[in-house]
Amino acid sequence: MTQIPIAPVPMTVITGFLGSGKTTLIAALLRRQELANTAVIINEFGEIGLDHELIESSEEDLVELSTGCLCCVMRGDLVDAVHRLMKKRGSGRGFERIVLETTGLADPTPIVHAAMADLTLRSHVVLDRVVVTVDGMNGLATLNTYGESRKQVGLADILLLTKTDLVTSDTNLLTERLTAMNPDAPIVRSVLGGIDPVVITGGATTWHEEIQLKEFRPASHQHNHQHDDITSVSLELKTPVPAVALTLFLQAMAETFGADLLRLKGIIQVAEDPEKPAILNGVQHVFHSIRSLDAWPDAVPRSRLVMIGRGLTKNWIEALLDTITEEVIEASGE
Amino acid sequence: MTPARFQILVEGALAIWKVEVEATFATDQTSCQIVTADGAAVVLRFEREPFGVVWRLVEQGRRDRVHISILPALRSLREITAPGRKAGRVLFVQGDQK
Repeated sequence: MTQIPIAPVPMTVITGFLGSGKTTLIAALLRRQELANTAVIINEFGEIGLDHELIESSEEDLVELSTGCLCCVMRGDLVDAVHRLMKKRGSGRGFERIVLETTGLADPTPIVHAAMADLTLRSHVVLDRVVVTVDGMNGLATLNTYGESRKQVGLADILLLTKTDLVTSDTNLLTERLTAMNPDAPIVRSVLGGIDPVVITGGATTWHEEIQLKEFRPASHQHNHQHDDITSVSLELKTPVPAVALTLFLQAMAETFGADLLRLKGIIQVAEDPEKPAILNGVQHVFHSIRSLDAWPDAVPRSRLVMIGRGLTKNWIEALLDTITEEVIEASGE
Repeated sequence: MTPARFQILVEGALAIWKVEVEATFATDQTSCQIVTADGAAVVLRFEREPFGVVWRLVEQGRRDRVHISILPALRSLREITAPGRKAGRVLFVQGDQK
């Protein structure tokens, strides 16, 4: 394979249930000057062609992968498509971003894992954010019926409410439901894909950096709906956490919940360096390296954790973190 | 570790794994007997030692498993009560930079 010595480009994953407006969104975005230099990968059967010379398609892999950790399975089609695009980029057909549209029934987790952990992909792309389209008209019914839709919402960094011009009743029930499932993800409304491109590009920040900027929604937003197997738990931590306890906590969460833990994000005061908040960001058991910010965004440090998944209970997670923290403090003889 | 927290942790873990077991806590909440669907019994208890808390898992016909942290204790409990359940193993990847 040819060596392509080019800096990685940001990749936005756009997913959402069948008919929720992914293609409309991408077609509209490609007409925007701000996203003119965007390559698109469509990962869907029978998708309408987009008239764009940089479009690449990676055929859907229908083989059921039952070998365990999906992030360890080479997503050959995706890797090949990205590699072809990067070769074009290397030959002068410049683009600054890749947008990847998944199938409507896709579980985006393997793609996100591949972008985070696959060495070949990581040399080409930097996963920027996961944007999930939700049909403003039929979204509630879809969420009630299809587990794939609930999982997509759980993994979102940005939730895009589409077809809002066609909605005759208010969308409060839907937005409340989305907020309960993923309290950390901003909800943006869209008509025919007409959104500020910053929603896709994030301006000057990556999704990591935006974590600190997002409003933390307290426990009052936590309520379960009849059909919600996916829920969220938000914690505010009162005391700094030793670094070792933090990593043990992540391991305990990954082991205990397995694939039921969809997302874990947080800004944490670490005992060893309390002035510099540590940023946590993981999709299931795959985490970006914990890194520190230079300073707290608020005057008073506030450690916060948001977890999204199935069967998460706040008092259990609190008890787990408290226990691990105590163990580490006791072991260190403090 | 408090007895109340011990009960939260054990009951909660069994609920997360959706296992059909009978869990009976001692009145002082420092130990719990768990009987699995196939009738096997295991006792999990926490004991305070000079160096901290240890978790002891007693299973008939096997040597006791003693853990100095809740993490391996939960792992052992899961292996006994929910052996088919897949567990994640944390993988840290390099952070991104744009």
